[in-house]
Amino acid sequence: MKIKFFAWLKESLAEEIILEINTPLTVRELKNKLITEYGEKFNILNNESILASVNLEFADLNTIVANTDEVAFFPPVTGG
Amino acid sequence: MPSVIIKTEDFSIEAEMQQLDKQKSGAVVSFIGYVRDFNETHNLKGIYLDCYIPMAYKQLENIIANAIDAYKLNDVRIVHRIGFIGSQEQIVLILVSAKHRQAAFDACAYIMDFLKIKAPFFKKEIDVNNGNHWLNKF
Repeated sequence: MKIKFFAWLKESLAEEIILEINTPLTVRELKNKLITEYGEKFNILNNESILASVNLEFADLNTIVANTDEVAFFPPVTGG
Repeated sequence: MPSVIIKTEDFSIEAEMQQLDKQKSGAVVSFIGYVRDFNETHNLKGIYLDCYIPMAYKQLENIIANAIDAYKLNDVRIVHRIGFIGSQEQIVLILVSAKHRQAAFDACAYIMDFLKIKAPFFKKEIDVNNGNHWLNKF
């Protein structure tokens, strides 16, 4: 699975992480796995302002992700 | 044909307007967003725009499809810049053509409103001393 980060999350966490998962997870479970495997700084992903996408569509905490999916985490958008 | 362009270079409204399909259109409405020279940062030199490019294309194409469906538009073009953009430079262009003016006005506002909440662009303000500050950082 490819996990991408944008804006200041890219600077404080990582630009991209490749993670192998054997069984599908919810976005909520994926966040917890990142905290367990990559450290406490990933706790910021549990802030309710942080948005998630799965395969380029907005996702919520209960969205299921599989190993072939592309997931991204980012702060509220500020385009235009 | 509806079009989305995301690029670092500046754009020309005249060049984009030439590309817009205006057949059977009684109205064309345009919107240009500029980098404000006032915001959270004093002495703003410009902004840096990060973008999740594939998702931005997908979301903007969805917004266009919904706008065409809702307002019966003839054509739409969106150009959005990324990377460093200087103070008072152009950031975004929306062009809409439709049979009647009200649909064109309403659709342009609709597209911009959804771009503001659905398109994954992220602004970092840069001051004249090269200090920087992400918007929505906590």
